[in-house]
Amino acid sequence: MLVWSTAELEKYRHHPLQLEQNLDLTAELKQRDSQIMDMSLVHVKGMISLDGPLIFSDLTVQTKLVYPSTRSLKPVDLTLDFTIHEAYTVDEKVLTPEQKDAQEIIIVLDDRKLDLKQAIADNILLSIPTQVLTPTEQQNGVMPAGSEWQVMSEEEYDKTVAGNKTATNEQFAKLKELFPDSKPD
Amino acid sequence: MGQKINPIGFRVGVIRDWDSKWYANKKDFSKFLLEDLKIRKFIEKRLASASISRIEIERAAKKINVSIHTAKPGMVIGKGGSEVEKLRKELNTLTGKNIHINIVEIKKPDLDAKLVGESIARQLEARIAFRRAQRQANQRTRRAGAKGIKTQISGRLNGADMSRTEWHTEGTVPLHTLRADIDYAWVEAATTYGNLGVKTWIYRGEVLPDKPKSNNNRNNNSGVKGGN
Repeated sequence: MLVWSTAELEKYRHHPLQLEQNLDLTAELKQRDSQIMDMSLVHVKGMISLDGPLIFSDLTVQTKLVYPSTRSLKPVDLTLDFTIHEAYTVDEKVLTPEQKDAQEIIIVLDDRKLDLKQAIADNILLSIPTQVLTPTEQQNGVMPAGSEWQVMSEEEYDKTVAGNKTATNEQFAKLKELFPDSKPD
Repeated sequence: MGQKINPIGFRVGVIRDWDSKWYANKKDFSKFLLEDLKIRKFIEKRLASASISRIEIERAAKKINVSIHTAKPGMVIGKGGSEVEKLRKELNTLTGKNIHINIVEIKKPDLDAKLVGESIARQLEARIAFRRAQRQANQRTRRAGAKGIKTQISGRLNGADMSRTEWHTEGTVPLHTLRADIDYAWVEAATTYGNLGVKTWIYRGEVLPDKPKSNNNRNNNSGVKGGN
């Protein structure tokens, strides 16, 4: 499923191969990213076309993931809706510099097979944002705290550091007692 | 090839602050220094999956303030703060001193070289094609407002027999400009074919002498380069 050899794809050189299907990648993606709690079927729509030594995929991918919040570990529903534009080739050496420059990404097909399922799975994993927050966490910046520990934003931390720098050191303050007649700066 | 200085060390004391902030006399200096290394090593090992960027250590009498800068505070504190309590107790035992932990949530993780490098490394470990991982990281960083990014991956790329190095750069990365706020990190990805080295440089804009260091003024720039 969704795997073609480059010889098979040759027949689509003049008429692009149109695709529309639902994929179940839950088990595979859960294995590759243990933080994924659940995910829906992946809806894929698009086409595969050929031009010279290059094979192109232009796909739209839609799916929903359940992922833990990076702040509180509470489950968050993530909707992923993105496009994939990739170019593939069997031999990168045959490409002209212009062909290389025109493409954002060229993936070399080592075994002369285009595995679109792998490409879709890779791109789903790459589309998961680094920071995932629940709608409540996004709206109010409440941070958890406990005894001898606290979570703070970068702004709060910068303020604390600046406060510490301006605060008078008690040990140095005692030095003033040595010179009672001197005027303060 | 020219000799290259670490961009972080090059800028410490100019536009970057130290990660350890304390004073000690000659007698205590080596003890405190080794204690800092021990604390950092312990936290980095224990919270390897918690996207930790840097650990700042401040000392006051018998108390140590440890600030952990992370993109995922949830992974550090655990459910109901159980993990951080445990971590604090372990650090107390390790050092024999009272430890206070600040967990600082990084607002823009895509502008942090260590986190971007870690993310590429983890993706390589999840068998994602290195070019996809590299491109995605560069795009995210540029979208987050970086003026430039360079990523370099070395080793047996995609399991090739012969190891090589491939790099991708977008925008500018002026390594020789001291006021250029360049974040750099080196991370390793443990794949089935062996380890891959991931180096990341992120140019976040200029830090002017009269202005405090900030992560918020960012511009966009064009130009994409790549090579091997």
